[in-house]
Amino acid sequence: MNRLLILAAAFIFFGYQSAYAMEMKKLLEKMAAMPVKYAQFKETRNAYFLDQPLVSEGSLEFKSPGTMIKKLVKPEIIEQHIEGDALSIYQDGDKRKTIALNSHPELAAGINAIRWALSGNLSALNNDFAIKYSENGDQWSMSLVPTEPEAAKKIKNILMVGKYNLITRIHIEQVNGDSVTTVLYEHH
Amino acid sequence: MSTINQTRILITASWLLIIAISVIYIFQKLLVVSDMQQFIPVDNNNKQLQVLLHETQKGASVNLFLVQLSGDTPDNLARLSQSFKRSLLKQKNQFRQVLNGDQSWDIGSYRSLFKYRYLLKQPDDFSVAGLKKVMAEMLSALRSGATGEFADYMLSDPQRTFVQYLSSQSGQVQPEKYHGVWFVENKSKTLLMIQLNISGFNLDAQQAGIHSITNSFKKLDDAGNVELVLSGPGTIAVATRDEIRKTIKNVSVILTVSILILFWVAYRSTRLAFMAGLPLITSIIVAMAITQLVFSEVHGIVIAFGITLLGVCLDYPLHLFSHLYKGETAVVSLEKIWPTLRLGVLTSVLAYVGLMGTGFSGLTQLALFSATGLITALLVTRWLIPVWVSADWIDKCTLPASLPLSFKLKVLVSTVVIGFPAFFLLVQDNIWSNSIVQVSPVPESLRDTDYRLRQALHAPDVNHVFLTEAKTVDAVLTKTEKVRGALQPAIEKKLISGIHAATMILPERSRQQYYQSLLPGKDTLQKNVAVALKGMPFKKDAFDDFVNDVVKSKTSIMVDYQTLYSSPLGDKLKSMLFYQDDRWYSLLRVTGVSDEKAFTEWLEIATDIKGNHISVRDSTSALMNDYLKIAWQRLLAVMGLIILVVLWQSRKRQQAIWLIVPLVSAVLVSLAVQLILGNVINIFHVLSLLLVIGMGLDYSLFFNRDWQNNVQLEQRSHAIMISAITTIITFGTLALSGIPVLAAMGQTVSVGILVCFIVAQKVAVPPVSSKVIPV
Repeated sequence: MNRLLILAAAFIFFGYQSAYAMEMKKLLEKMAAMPVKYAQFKETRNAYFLDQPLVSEGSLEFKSPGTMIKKLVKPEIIEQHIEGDALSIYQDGDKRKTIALNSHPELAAGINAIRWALSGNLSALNNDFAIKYSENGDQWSMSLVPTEPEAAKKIKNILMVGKYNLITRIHIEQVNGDSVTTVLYEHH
Repeated sequence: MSTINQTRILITASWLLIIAISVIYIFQKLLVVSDMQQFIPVDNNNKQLQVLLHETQKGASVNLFLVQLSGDTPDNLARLSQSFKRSLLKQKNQFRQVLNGDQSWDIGSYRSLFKYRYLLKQPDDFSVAGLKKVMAEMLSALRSGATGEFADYMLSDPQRTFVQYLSSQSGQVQPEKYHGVWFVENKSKTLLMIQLNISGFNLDAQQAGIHSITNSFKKLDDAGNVELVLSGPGTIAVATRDEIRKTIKNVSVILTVSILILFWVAYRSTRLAFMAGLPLITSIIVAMAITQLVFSEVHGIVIAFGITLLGVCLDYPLHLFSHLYKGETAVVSLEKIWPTLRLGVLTSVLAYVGLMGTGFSGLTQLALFSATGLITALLVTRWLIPVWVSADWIDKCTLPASLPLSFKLKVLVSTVVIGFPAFFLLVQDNIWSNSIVQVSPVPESLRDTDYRLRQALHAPDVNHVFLTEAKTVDAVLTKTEKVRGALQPAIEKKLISGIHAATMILPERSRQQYYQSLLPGKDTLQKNVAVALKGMPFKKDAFDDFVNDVVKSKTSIMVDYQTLYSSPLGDKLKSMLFYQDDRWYSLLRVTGVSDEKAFTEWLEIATDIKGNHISVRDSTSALMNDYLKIAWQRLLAVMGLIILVVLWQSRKRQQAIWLIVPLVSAVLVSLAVQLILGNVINIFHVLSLLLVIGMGLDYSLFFNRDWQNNVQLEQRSHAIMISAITTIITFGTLALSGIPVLAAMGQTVSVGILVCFIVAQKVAVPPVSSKVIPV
């Protein structure tokens, strides 16, 4: 009898997970169905050396499978082009810097979480993160903990929250307490 | 036990003992090196060049590999470059640094230098405006996604002084970048520089490095069709060593096979082949042991060439075998030819001794190796072989002996074989070569690749350097800075693209003190920071570490060379700043010399630094020229000596005079053939001619012996022909080696011996003698 109970509990537990796994898979398929996405964002950055959060606003454009263009307009104009492994930063019209994402795992983690979610790439997400997914009606939330050791040293957790097939909020929490919260709105 | 058996056992036992001792010694102690420096002359008087060569061996660039990837789209190549770099850096023990244009500093490894940053580089603006500017930049960086590590760094060094210091070490000019990675030739090729994690030059580590690099590349995904080209001193040195090994192997194999075949044809006895091999094998073993004992190492080229030279040792038992008669013991036969044999060997040894003291330590080693080997072989032939061998073993094939020519014909032949080549040589201009490039074992294609990659990466020029020296470190650094200043106009005139100087890594004291004087006081700085922070979202204490560091630097001691030697920049500094023989030396290197002529002309009028300039190429060419002259003089001296001795002998025996003809002819024809082949005569050709004379004289002497009947003549020719064939075969194999030094020697000797043999046969054989000649 006990054994049966345990078995049943295991079934429910794993079934519960796999049910959500199914939902997550469906969500990602829906997101993948929209190859081009565009949204406005407001980003708030908290750091241990800042006594006020750093706020910036702009627009974010995504093109499947992994190109992103982030344009800050407030309080200054900076453009970020992310393509493949390269993150290029343009300021005052000229290309200031190009960073190889693979050499900066903590940077890559945040960017990749968004990229792969938006392109519906479940296998890539599973590769790099331990994922906890849950749904509540139209709303869903995905908690990603980086598994790559270098990234895990710096990033504690990436939380993505959304409605239908859109991401509405991304919250990156760092191990040292710093955090970045990006709110996305006016999707189209 | 009969006396013969007693003698036999005694001699054989002694021989075995000597072999055993030598072999054990070799096994324990043998150190084979492949350092080409030993075949490049080192003039004890030219301190400058000595210093240069010494440091070229130890410089950081010695362990630097240059890599080029091509054959795919720029995007794919960029990606590949990055993943390749990552894969190599994972092997941290092997590779210290991998540069591909994407500069991300591992600040942590420079911890020891970080605190000195305000002394190592001119400090920036500490005014309120200056501070506000860098703070705003930091905020921009944070907004565009700067990592936490970067933020931490910027808090203690907001002006990024240290990063600027490190960046200036990579040279002022770099190839253009695409996707953050170096590209050349219209984005068709991407470049990387890989630094091995060793100090000094270690050939095995280089070879391991090359393997790791090529294997790591193959393992990458998408490496597919991409072509990897690898260059650097390491690749060149490893290729040389491989080539030396291949040559040794080829020569050994061909020698063994040809001996067996020849012996079968000539004597129908393989037992004899075994016996003939004994002097050779003994000589090689003893020669290696003694060379190791005297020099504490044996050079690879010495082994390769030495074994070839010792191939001559096969001649000695051959002479004995061809003179064996049924009905007399071998010991008796040997004693009949002993004087001639001995003379032949001693002249060869004399010729080899002529190689000693030529200024090449490698050749002195070769001389010792060969001389000991020959003498050993002679002794084995004299004492060991005769007690075992008997005429019953032999079934000689008969070779027709050519009868000597008439006097008139001899004169005619002599005139032709000496006159024609002499005339040919006289009408040539430019037969001499003093280029060290000729002597280098590096195949041309590798050299070209290396040059191209070096230019593209703006790596330091290998030819033009500037040397300063002084008693103390600071004095030499001050002089260096003056030279650097004087070279700036050359950059402005675009004659060079950049300068690498020790003072860029370690500024001289006076400059450090000047930088220190530019730093603000504690109160001023704190006030400026507080004002700059107004309106900024930073905490009031965010830049406290920065302020503390600046204040400490204001009163800190100067940075000295030891701190830098033990930092990651240590190797680079050591290649430009070093202590030797009680003085400090500093080497400045330039990059991107676009027009050799224009640069040299400009240097002529730059009188303040002209004295510091060294053109490595010109210096070594001048040196090669000197050595070529000395070697040629030696050659003429040896020939003159031999001619004198022969003339002296010919007072008693007129026929001896014909000995001169084959020798002179061999030298002239060999030189002529080299020129026809399109080679310029370099020092190794000349030195090889010494060997031709030594060995050729051996044949001439045997041909020149008096004879009474055809049988004696045949005997003589038989031995000489076989030995000539073996010699020509082995040197012929050497002539095909990929190493120019060995090929030059092989060609010279094989042609020379061939000519000597033919001419000696025609000219040196005296008319039949009326005297009774003991067989």
